Amino acid sequence: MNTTNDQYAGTISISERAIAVIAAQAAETVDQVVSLAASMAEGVAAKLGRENLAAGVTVHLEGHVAEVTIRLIVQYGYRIPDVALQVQKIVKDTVEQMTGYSVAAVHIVVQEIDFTQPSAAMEMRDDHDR
Amino acid sequence: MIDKEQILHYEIADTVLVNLVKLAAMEVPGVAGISTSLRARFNGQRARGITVIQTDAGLAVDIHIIAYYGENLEQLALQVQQIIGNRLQTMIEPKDLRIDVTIEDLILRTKII
Repeated sequence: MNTTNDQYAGTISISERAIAVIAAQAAETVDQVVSLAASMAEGVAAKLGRENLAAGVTVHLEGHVAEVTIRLIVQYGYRIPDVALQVQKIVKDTVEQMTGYSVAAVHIVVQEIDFTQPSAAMEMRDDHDR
Repeated sequence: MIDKEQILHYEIADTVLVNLVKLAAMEVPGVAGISTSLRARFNGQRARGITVIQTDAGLAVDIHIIAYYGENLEQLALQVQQIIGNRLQTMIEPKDLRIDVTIEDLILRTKII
């Protein structure tokens, strides 16, 4: 984007990686999201001790319009479309607020379901069925 | 009588300008550091970080920064541009000045570079 600074000429740019970090941090605030699903390369890097705040997120930028893809691990027991919608909304709002860029789309890929911790929603349903 | 214009000839090393730019940028609270990319260097691309090009027409500055997560990035980049411009204008007075700012990466405030 061209600068709106009246004094000095030049461009202001935000990288795809920076946007990916914002999207990842926003997605992880959704309670039903256990974590983001790292790719194989990201997983290997993590094992080598290299922290990656953007793991699980891919961003494609055209000008100042972003298209975000997020791979999620969702907690068992929650309605996946509802979780996906929540993630989409929070990612879009956060990225647009923090960068001034537009978010054209947030694609959600539910990579895995975490069965290790039963959700409160499922426990209530099980109690009701009994 | 000696003409002042004739004796006022000087050069400024690129490293001096790079350091000036770096110091100015680091004064902005939301800036965590200057981005570097080893991959870019290995690929023969212009290294990230700070590049300053001096010509007879003026100065062109290209800076890639790492910011703290939580900042409004557009405002932060404008602040960086402003402070670098003010600093160079005061110390160098270039004929023409262009400053390109890229926010390359974000880190959490708990992490120190």
